[in-house]
Amino acid sequence: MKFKRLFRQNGFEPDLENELQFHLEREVQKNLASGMSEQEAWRQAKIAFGGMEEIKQQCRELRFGTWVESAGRDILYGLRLLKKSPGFAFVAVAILALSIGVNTAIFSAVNAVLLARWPFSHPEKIVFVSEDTESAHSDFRWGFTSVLNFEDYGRQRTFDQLALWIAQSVNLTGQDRPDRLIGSFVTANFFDVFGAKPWLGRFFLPGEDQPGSPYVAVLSYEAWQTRFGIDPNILSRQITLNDENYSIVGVLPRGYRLPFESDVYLTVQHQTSYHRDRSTKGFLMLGRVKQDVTLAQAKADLNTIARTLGHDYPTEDAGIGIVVTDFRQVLNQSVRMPLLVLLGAVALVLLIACANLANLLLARGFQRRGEMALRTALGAKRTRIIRQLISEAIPIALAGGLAGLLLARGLLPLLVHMAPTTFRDVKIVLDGRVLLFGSLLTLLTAVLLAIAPAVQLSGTDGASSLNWGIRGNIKTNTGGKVRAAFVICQVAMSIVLLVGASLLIRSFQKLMASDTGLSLDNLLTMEYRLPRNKYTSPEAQAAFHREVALRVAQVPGVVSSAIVQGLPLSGNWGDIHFIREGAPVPEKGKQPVAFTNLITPEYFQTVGIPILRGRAFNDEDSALTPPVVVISRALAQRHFRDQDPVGQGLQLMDSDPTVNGERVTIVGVVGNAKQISLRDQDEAEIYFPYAQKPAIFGTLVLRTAVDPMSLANAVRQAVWGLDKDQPVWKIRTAQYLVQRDVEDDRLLMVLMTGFGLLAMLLTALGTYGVLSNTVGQRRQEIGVRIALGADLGKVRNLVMRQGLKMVLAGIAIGGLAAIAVSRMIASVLYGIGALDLVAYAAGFTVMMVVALLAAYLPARSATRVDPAVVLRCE
Amino acid sequence: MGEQLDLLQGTLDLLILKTLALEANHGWGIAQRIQQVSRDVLQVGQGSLYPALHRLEKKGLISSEWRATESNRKAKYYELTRSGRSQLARELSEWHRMSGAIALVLDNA
Repeated sequence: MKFKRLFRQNGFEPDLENELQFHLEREVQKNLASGMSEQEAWRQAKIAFGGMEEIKQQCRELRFGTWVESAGRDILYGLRLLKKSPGFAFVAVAILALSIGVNTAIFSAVNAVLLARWPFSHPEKIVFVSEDTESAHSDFRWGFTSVLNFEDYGRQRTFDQLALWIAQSVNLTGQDRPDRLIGSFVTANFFDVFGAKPWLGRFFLPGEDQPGSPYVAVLSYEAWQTRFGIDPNILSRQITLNDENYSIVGVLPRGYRLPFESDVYLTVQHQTSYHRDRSTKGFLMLGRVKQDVTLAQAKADLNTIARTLGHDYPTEDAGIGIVVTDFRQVLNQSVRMPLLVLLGAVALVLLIACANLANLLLARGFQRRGEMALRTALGAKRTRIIRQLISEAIPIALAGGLAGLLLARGLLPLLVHMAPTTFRDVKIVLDGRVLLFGSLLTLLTAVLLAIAPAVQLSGTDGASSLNWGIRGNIKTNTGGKVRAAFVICQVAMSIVLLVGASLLIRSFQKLMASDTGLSLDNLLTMEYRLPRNKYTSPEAQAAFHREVALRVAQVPGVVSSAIVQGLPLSGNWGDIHFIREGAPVPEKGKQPVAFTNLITPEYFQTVGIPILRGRAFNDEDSALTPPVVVISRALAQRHFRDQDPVGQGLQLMDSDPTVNGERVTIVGVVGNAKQISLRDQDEAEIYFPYAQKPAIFGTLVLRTAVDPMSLANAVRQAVWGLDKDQPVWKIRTAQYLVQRDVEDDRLLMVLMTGFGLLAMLLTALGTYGVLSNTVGQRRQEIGVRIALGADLGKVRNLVMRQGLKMVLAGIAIGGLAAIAVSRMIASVLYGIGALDLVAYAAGFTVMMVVALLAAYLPARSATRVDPAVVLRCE
Repeated sequence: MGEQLDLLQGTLDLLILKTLALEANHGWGIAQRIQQVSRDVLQVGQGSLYPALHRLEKKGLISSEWRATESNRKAKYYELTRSGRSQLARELSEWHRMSGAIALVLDNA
């Protein structure tokens, strides 16, 4: 036994050997002294001594207990058993590998995204502070505030730090070619929110965020690395951003591109919409709540100030309220629910796999009933037998676990591939935490696998099963009940997964069928932002937009081109309050709201939004002519049900006083378009011409006759032909934007479908296994029935009925569970309710068909029982 | 040689402790001593002696050490530990109480 040597401790074995040898020698000496011959002396001594090995074993057990060695023996024995039935071993390991593999893969995504380790202390105290409405509940929305309001919020007592922040791309010039950096405009205390320390140089000094302060910048480590080649002299360098010279004063440590992946941090007063007033709400707030203060207390504290502001400055701030949200929650907002749903799904898959394997082991255990009974009869303790069963499950679980981890490693790239945007900023790896999770799962599996057979076998009455083992006579069939219960559970859990998958498939279909309002094929887009100090006048800005659209239209392969401020699904959008001219002014907070967009005249034609009434903009609409707008059909239907909106007026209401109260004339009605996401419900939108509203940001959209991406370079060159220092970025197709928009939905739908199918197959396997086992056990009975002339159809129905009972019970239980579960995933569904009948029917039907198919095979084999053979055996 | 008696486990432990209270000894020596002192009535089999020694050592009542015997052969010697000594005292008084009580019953009943 090799294990003995393995577990030899502190020379215990040689000690024991020597000690007993000494005893033997003295015994021999004594015998010699009493006059025996040497041979006789040894013989007598050995007889007196008895079983040397037995004594040694007793001493060993006293010292170390018997656990380790007998566990080793059990495992070896388990391995030998498995070796005898490689088919079973393969199926068992494969089932476990699949389920542990998907569990580990999903957990590693959860680990990387939801359980991310942040490089700073107490991340739970870092919050986004959103200036919302008084009635806003705790759902997070990006709520912007003004500079002066922010300064008033500075009176708070519940935050260690409260900082102002807005992300905006900045143009980096003065290099070979213009480039775009993701900038964050922040107050000087921004880095204190995270408790960051500079990697190089320093952060902003107090007061550097005030008007008139110099242009200083802090780089992220990543930008320092990729854009500036880890230049050691970076701190003495100046860079040109948005046509201003900035001195780089510091570099952040690695992994601090917060809150989103910023390349460069600038002070807030250099941001284009920085105005020391209350009407320009252009900033977001981030803060670190004091250690002993809850988020609710922090919210209440700021709300006190917000109420005062609303009272003191009713024009700008009436009805404002504060929402405070854990920043991690905001970062993971979209992916949190899908990941949790998937985690739950794979947990179910694992349970099904365990029930399945337990059933397989039960069936094997049933065959080994005789053996176990014999062992019990020979005095093996119940705990000893249970331990042996667990030890046999361990090799299966270990092999399955190991294969599962390897599988998970293979699955990770697929996962990232399916949702590149979601997982863009996270590194999904099998780190220590994931490995620990996988190991725990494996251990848990081993225990689950062993429990059922253990309970069943060790609970049997020794004499009767011994009887059974020898005679092959069935009297009790408690094992059958346990196994049927397992199958029912499997069906129930599969139903939950299948219904979930059908709901998600239906929802995804609806989502994909929903009309963006644009014709998406062959549409290329890219973004740019003009430096305000270079294009100072509204006329210069409008001229650039007009000119650049004309220039890129000349590129061969481009059919038409236009500029839009916020392209649908691009992530850019704005909204505005308005009333129909002459309508009574509703109280603040209840005014109708619509998306706003700026466009050049060719926009509708380029992206394929149909003009339903009136006209699109044209070159006649300029700063010198009366302001005009085009509205979407949704807005027209809601506010102009009684008359043609063309020619009617709207009155704009905005905290920006240059816009507030402005009257605009509707000149056209166009088709609806989704703005933020395919899930948008409200498609009311007001379009303004660039020529009448100054703006520095634009999105080029081009309808191409060829593959859009093939024109990317030529279009960029055309832009640089107009201004060689103007960077363009986010070069992508409209199709890509749609795919990105539905990425999380697709990930969830595809994976859930996969898990549902996996669960279904496992369950079918389980049903098949149990029924064919029953047929095997009832062979004699069936043989007799057939011999006595039973109808073969009836014999088949006997088995089918048993299968049907289990499946129906499973569907009933699973159906109820599915109702509860689908309510939980209702928030990710689109276009259907959580109780969508089609989805439920689909889930039930698929399970029913597959399970009955699985029952049919053993049922058919029952009809083929040859009575002659069976009776002869008896 | 009279009839030999099997020893109950607790009794063997007590005898081992008592034997070791005189001086440290090895397993064979302990067995011989018990046999001699009991005038060959009590025979300690190796099958119970060594497990008992290991059990007592694990309990911390005795400790062991390899020493040279008078014939210069290495042997494993056991001796009482401090807690072994107090355990012996406890068990002895227990034993006397018990045997006294039994004797009373047997003599007077």
